Amino acid sequence: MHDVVLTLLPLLLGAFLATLAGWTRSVLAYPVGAIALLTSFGFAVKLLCSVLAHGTATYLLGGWSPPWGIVFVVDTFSAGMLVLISASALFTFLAFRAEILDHFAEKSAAFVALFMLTVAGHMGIVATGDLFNLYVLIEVAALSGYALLGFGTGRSPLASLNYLCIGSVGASFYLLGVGYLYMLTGSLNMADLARIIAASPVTVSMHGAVGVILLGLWVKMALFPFHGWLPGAYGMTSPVSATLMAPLTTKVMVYVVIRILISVLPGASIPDAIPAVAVTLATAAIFVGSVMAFRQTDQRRMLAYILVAEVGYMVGGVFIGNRTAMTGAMLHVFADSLMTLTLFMAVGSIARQRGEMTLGNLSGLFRTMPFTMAAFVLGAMSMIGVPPLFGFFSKWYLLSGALASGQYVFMAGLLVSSLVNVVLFFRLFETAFFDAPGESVRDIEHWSRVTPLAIVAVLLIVAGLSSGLIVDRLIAGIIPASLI
Amino acid sequence: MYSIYSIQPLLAVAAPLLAVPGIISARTPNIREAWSFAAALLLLALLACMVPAVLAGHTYTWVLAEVLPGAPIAFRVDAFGMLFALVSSSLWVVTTVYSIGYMRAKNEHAQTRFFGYFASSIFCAVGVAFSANLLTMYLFYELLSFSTYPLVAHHQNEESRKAGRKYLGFIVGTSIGLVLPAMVAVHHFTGSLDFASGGIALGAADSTTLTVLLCLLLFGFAKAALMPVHVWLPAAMVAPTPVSSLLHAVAVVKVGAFCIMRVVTGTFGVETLQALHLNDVITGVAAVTMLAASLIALSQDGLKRRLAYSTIGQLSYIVLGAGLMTTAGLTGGMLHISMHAFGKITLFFCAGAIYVATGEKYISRLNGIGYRMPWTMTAFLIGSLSIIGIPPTGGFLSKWYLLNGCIGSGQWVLALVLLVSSLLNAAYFLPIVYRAWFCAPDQAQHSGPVREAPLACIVPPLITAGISVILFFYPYPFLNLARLAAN
Amino acid sequence: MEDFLTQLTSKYNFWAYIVLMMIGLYAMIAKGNLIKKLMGLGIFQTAIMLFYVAIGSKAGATIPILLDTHSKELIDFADYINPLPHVLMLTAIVVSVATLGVALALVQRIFDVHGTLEEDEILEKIKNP
Repeated sequence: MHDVVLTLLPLLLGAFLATLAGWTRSVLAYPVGAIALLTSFGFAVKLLCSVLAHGTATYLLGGWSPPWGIVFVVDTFSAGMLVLISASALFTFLAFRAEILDHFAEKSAAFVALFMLTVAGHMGIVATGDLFNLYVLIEVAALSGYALLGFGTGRSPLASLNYLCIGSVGASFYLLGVGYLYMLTGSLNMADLARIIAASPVTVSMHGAVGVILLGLWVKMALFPFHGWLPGAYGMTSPVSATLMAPLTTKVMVYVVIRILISVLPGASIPDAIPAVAVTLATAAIFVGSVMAFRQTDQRRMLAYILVAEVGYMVGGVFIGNRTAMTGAMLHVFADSLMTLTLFMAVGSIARQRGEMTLGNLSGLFRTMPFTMAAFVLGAMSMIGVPPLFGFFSKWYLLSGALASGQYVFMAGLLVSSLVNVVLFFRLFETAFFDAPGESVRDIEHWSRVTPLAIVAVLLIVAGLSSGLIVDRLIAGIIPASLI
Repeated sequence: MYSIYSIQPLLAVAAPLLAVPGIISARTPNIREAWSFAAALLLLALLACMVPAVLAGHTYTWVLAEVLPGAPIAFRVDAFGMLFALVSSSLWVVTTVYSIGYMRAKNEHAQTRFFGYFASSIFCAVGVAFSANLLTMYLFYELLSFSTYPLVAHHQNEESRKAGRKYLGFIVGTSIGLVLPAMVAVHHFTGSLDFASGGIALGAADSTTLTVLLCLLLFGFAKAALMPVHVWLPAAMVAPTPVSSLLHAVAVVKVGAFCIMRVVTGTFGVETLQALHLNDVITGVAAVTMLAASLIALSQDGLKRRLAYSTIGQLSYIVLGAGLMTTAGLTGGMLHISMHAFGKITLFFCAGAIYVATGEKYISRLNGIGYRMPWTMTAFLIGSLSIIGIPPTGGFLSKWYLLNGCIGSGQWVLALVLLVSSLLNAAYFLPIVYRAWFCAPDQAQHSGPVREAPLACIVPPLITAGISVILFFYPYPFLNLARLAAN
Repeated sequence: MEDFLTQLTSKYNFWAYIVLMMIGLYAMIAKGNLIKKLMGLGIFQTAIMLFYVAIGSKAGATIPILLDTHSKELIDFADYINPLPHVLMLTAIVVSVATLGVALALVQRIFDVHGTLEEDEILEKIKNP
């Protein structure tokens, strides 16, 4: 079963070849990257089909068997994530061709190489079954991400450096926690750890290990109060980097938390304080993200703060502690990724035409860029939670799970956040609809940008209507039966 | 009494939507309008195919997608849904004729957008009518809110911006803030969101929860304009008159009342509500809205605003019918959906015709206009009679059933409220008619010769006024459907 | 009290690593110079590496390198320290170096744009361009 590693290899090869192309004929870098992403996406789809048909796929790196060797384990949830990540990267790469080639000029080959590396890192995070390998891949994805995010103009290097410091601290805390776990159990393989932990007595050190790991991951996913890096990093960088990183990093980190809770610590030995703290922080994240989003005039920063609130949704769902909420969190990983991709792609197209993304600069967009705005409306309605778009169904599961567990404040937070999103997006829609475009405005909608955006926006509807299918085939089998 | 599993409900719901690509891509205005007509006629044909089986007591069902456990996106055509769908679709044809006259006479901008969103709004309304469960109904309710926003904000000026904010604020705010948690709670208690004829087993929940849920749903469906969530309706009158007439006299507001009636009968169930005396809550809220709206209507000088407050009052008749919970009451409420639709749309059409022909919007400036626009004001008279409830118009029948329902269940106070409300209706409509025809010659601001609005603006109100009269003598399509649904 | 003192003295190396981590974090937060922040990050990461290495040590054991690979004698693993944490930390050192490389590249860009390496001066320049 080589498909598992074949989803990653084209990307690593592509990064290498793109760098070579950069030294020789840099026009080849973009086609190389596109082919690599396309191949990777193809293998990811093939892997999803085979996992759905035959069950979990494993791959032994170097032929060494666990628990000494590093093993890649792909179940249905991971396979879905792999398809999502590769598709997201592919669409971004194809839609923003103009930026990559023109905007970055002589650095475009380097940009392509970094693009490949960060996608490979994220896909590896999803596929791996070893905790230390997970740290390595987190850092691979993060380092190339820091470089990509530094690519904008003006304040982006500073924002990226800020992200680098905070992110490295987070990853180091994760590493520390893995060290504790290694001290206690002697193993780094997830399945092996699950077996050993289930059999060992509950100790304070185990709680400490879990706590430190979660702390590190919460920093990396920008959970309140560690969210300070996100608005700067995603709001000030170039639209391409933001569109690549925003749907990926935070959701993949939530995936890691889910994976650790489900595969390493199934229903065992977490002190009650941790879920309580997590749900409180999640609720706070929702409120703070929504309020801060209000105060932004730059629409890209506003979207970044909305992302902070969305992280709160997912973390709350994971730690509420019942099956429905966990289903909601897992579905929201998919949904939020797709919605964020739609919104950031649309904003990227608009930013290329209009420049500054302040409200005053966005008048008359419905008239001049109707297709882009139509996709943006679909993404916004999905964020608000309007059926039949994808965002509604994950929100439903989260609300249902919160009600079942009596987490009324979290429920209220979800509803308030939806209402705030209505106001935030309609502020933009009002300007785009009511105000006439300025005199000097010449907006062009090129088909090469609109087509990927249209596909992603339509996917929001299709995925929404198929959410029952997604839950049944991809998610329901993964949640352990002990979680009710 | 069996259910037929057929794709016809989906086809009927989708028919209006199929017009949208045609409307957007049409090269000339006539081709564009032809698409609207074609879709409207297709819709009526599809409905006509389903009517016989529905009248015989059967239902059509179809499941679109199993999206949530216990709550698929599914369609079910029963008598009540068919009644509402028939009203909306027949009035769509008439309104399209009227819109053509109105929009072209005023040379309005963005007509393609107008007709496109009109079609999608009808799609949503028929979707609500044919929803098999609360989730599907909520889905189409939300889509309707967003589909009608560009219509309300059509003029794209400062006034419509503010009106659009109020519209969205009240309608989306209540649907996300009140209906959604109530839906989640219903699903939590019963595991399903279906509409069943005796209500789903909500009896399991305690009475406080049930009261809270009922209030959440009554005020959450703000399109029914129960006070105090009615504020959006007068504000939405800034829209062009075709929008006000079809949507805010017929489709949007009836969707709200329809949803409330569905929830009361299908989710809570008559027995559960009566056991907890919650029907009094419903009738209480309806009665207050009825009286308050009629009183406010008296003080309005703007013609469309007066009609808007009249609509708010008339909608509470439907909710009152739901709250009475007797066969006569439910029949009256459901019948009122159709009778009020035809009557009110006549009045709005006339208001628009007056605006097109003379530019007048205020009642105080309509002295003597009956001499200039006799046909329009005749239609206005008939429409007013229907709303007040005077025979031989259809409005009399629905009020008769409602009154019977009140007296039959011993609710003398409500019967009195109904009568007072009808008197108030007369008090705010008949003066308009008086001004039009009977004012002193020296006070007349308009006089002959006859200079009517364009033909496309006069014929529709005459048609709907005529139907209002015909419905008095031959109400059977709607009456049979209402009777069937009420049992 | 005695227990606490025993804890303190017997595990002094772990306490030292924690102190180092806190020094690193303090430098990252409190120092205004960007390079000093990066040094703090380096100290923080190094503390974690030292912690891992300490995991593998055993009393009275030697480094895990076999001098005589041909003898058939069985090896007692208690004589050798655990090499796995050392190997893991080799990877972590590489990651730390790469992080430092990216960070210094970003610092160079920042210096090109703003002309200074002090964080408060940079923020001043951004607020008042």
